[in-house]
Amino acid sequence: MRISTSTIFQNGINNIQGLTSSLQTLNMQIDTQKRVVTPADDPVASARIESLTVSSNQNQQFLDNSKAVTTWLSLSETAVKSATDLMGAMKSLAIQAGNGSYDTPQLQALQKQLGEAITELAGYANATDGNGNYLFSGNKVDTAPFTVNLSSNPPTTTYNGDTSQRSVQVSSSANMVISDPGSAVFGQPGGSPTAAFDALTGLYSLLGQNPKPANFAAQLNTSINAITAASTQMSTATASIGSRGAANDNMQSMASSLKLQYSTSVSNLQDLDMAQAISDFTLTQTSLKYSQLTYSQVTKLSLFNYLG
Amino acid sequence: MSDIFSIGLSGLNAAQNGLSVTSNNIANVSTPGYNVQYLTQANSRTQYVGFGFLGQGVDTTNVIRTYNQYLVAQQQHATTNDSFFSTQLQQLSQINNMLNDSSISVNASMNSFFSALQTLSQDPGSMPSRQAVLSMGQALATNMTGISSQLQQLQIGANGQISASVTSINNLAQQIASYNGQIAALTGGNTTIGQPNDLLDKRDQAVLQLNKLISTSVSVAADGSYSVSVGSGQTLVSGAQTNTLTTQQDPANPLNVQIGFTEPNGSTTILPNNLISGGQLGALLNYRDGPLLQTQQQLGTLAINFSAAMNYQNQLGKDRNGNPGQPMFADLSAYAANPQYAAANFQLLMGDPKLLATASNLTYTGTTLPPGTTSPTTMSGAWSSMPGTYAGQINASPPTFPAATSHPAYAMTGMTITAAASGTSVTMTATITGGSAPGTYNVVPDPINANGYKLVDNSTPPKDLGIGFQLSGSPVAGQVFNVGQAPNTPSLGDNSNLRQIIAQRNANLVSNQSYETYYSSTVTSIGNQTGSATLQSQSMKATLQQATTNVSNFSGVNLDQEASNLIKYQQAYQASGKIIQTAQTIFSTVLNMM
Repeated sequence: MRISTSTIFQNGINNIQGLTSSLQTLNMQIDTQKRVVTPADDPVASARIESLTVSSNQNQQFLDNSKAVTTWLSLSETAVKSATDLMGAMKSLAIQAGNGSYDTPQLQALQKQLGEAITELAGYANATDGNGNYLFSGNKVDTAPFTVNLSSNPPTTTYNGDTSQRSVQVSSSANMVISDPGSAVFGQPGGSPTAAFDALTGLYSLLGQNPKPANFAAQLNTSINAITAASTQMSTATASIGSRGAANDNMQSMASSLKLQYSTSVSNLQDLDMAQAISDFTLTQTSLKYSQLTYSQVTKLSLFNYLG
Repeated sequence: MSDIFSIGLSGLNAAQNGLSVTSNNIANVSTPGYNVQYLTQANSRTQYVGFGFLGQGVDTTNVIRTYNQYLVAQQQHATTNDSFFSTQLQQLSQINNMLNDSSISVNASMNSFFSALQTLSQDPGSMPSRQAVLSMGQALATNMTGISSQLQQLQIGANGQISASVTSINNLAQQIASYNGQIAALTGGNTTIGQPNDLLDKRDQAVLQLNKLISTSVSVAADGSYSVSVGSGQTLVSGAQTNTLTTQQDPANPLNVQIGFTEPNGSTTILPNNLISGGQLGALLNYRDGPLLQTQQQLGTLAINFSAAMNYQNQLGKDRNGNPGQPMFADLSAYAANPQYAAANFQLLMGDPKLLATASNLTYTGTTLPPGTTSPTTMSGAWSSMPGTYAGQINASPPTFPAATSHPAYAMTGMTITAAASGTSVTMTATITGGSAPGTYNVVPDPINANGYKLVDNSTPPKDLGIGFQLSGSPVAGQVFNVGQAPNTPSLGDNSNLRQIIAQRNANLVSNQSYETYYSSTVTSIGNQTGSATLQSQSMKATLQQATTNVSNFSGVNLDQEASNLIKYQQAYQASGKIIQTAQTIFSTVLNMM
């Protein structure tokens, strides 16, 4: 077959260019350690990577939300637990007041102690999250939920919050309630939003009466019952907060393991099989070397070399 | 005697001509489009000399180029195809690489925007978190308009290349016509006599160049001149005459140029894209009005639907000042018919972070219990969400964009939710008074929230009415919850409307896909087209190489052959010289005899 001189040169160059281009591609893949650099490299894998990345990003946000939920719930839990402990101490104080030998000054000393405890309870009920948001005022996070007025007669407590609860998304299919309205935590028995305060302020008024009323023992008993009922309500709230905390922990560990799965899947689709790539690179490099060698040999062949 | 001289001389001449043809071949070994030439020679007319015919030497008859019109036609065709796909690949790679640049990925900024919203949902009153949402919204807008302007640059670039291609086509057409004229002048239209081979080669080369730009059909007239036509038979070259292609601004889209064909009578007709197939010009038109336009339209559709849905939900809520929400982004609904122009106008309108409507426009106003019962259950929140019909309307073709004012909760005067015993459980119904959809609706659980519920309409299957609420526990039979319009006072802890904004991330609001999935599919579509253009371009390149090799092997110069010819003609020359020397010797012998 007749082969033109330019074909001999052109074919050699075409082969060398093809191999150089393959070498370049392999080189880039090895540099980035990625098999799919642009969507055109593998459109199917690329589409899957895109959708995994979107899911992974969302999952990361759920994980972040879930961590914030943990903080919120533990702040609430601490406040309610401290309040429950305080109610227990006040129950002991009430029982102590029932000691018939206590005279008026002793009862007034107990009343003073109780007054401080009421202030302390208001402190727990008006706790904030560190950013100045009240934990127990429903959605009125800028309003202190409870106002206690001990100086009025009888002492009064008002609830300034609402019944709203705030939720935060912790998975694609679940919102987690992160706030509990004060009316549900410190209120409820008998329907009052300020039941815990009412129980303590009732006792406060009783201890301040001079002389002791005739039905002191009966009134004291009512107060003790009210304090018990209020603590029970707080314990119920603690249990509710705790169970949400546990659910949140589950969500969090699920999100953590999903995070690993997403990154593994993306890596499987995107990452380069290094051993394979190096082997391909070496093979291509060898072919290129021999192509160059044969090119220089073949193009040397000419009848003109023999014309003297 | 004189015969030997003249025979020797004719041999010398022929060998000299042969050497000159061979030298010309060697000199043009790397001239593009050069076809190897050879000398034709014949023995001279014989003379009857009584006993028979004596030869009179040799005549050189012609110099002919080696030429195979079928191989050349194949090469022209392969050139058009190769040029088409390599141009398309080149153009598509630009979009492919641009969309792959993670620093300007819409999905990356979409993710940052929604992440900022999620962070805000933890503390909806927080001003720094609100500011972060607006900053991310601004970044998203910058990204969207940035990509849009890059796509527009690509569009401008493509149109520039289209105009340049048309200019080159006209130049090449003129060259071909000029070669036609020169050849005709030299040969008088007679194709059977010696031809100006260099002009024939150059004309073929010009046709090959022309085929790189546009697919042509070439016919050879009886006088040897080429007629070149494009499109559906628009004659570009006929003999020494040319008609021209023109470019003019597209009245429907001032950034684009249209291709026109100037008729011999001077009038211009517009050639539609489908008439201009193949070659660089065909590829550029195909790309500009295909993948590029499609990407611009998809980006625009994303911008239109995203801004409409975000504005809708934000207008359903209450901002940090307690006022009804306002649109967040510029309204792009006017671009629905021409979405390719929308993304450039995507803009964040909201400047004050307080205006993000995180709180619900509905509020719980109390519960009533049947006499003699107690229940600790209250309502933890009530909110307006996107009705189930919304996605259908925004995804329709053409889309409609419902106004927030048409939402059932927008202007309602009140809603009561009544629990009733149903066997061992309690079911609820809701009655809305006032607004766009007063009536009684069923209430179904909404599993995303603990004790969460939503209202469904009376269609089959029931669709989300767009109102949801959450209770603190289970209701008792006969318990009634009252809901009213939220007062115009701030509710800093309420993130109910914000959660509905966030929920859009996984709603199918663009072409029945979520925002991010839709953008991914745009990127993937370009990736697919680039991938297939790569393969086609590779295969067309191989075809072109084969066709070029075929032409070159048939009619290219082979130096070994020329070396052998060189020796052959050299020896013939030497031998003819010997004849003259012999004749001279014979002649002197005769002279000496005298």
